[in-house]
Amino acid sequence: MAEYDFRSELLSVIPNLRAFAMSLVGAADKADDLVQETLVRAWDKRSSFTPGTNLKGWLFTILRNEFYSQMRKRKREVSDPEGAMAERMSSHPEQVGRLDMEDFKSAVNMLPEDQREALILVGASGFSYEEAADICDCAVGTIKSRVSRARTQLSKILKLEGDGEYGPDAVSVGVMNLNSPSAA
Amino acid sequence: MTVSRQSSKKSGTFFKAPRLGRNENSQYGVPHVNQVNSSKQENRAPESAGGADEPRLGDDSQSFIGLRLRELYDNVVSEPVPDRLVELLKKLEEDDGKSN
Repeated sequence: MAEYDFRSELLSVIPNLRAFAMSLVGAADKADDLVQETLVRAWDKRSSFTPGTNLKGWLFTILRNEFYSQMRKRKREVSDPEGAMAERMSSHPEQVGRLDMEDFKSAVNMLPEDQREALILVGASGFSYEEAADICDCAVGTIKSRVSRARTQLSKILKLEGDGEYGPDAVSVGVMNLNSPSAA
Repeated sequence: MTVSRQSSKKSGTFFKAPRLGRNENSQYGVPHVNQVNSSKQENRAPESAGGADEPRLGDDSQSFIGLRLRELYDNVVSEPVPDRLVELLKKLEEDDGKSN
């Protein structure tokens, strides 16, 4: 009986897992592969989950760990980890003032991985800063800072404010700022 | 900043109700938007959000980003669970039954 419950609990979190996975990998089939792997792992180690505690957070942590361990493997195998990023970046917003969902999506995809996941966890998945910090295995202040920087970057990329202030090349300005020490 | 034409797609939901009931004080009635500035009070550490030299985003931008972010996310959440994942869970449970 308990196992049946666990299965339906897992089932209920799948939509959220898929959305988070999509934000990490960008392609639906790969996202579902990641969710699949997550479910298998979760099932294997379900005895380590305490019923009644935060299952969603537990599953997100597994999914995220799985994602990064796959990334590390792939980086060893494939010598062009930039390829995916370049592809993502090729469709950045072109037209000021006409922001449809695709534009927004590509802007989100341009964020550095750590900022993007923090923003998604807190701003879309509904986790508190504390829960997001647990999932990402970092300090709460780090999450807050990443979310804040992500919002600032997005706003710059999308040119939401300060029209003209960043010049015609706001996108690259935004990207360059990511590496500025003051943003840390 | 018009409503995306994609909002007519599938779910038709532009914005779902918040999943967590925190942050009730948003002046726009939009959750998750002002949280950078209204993070949990009991946890207001000096580190707070962002650096001191970080410009504060305008409420409009924050609200826009918050809405779009959730729309993007909820578009995926509202998709039906793929069969292969449902089947996987069944299989995991069945295999379990066999081995026990």
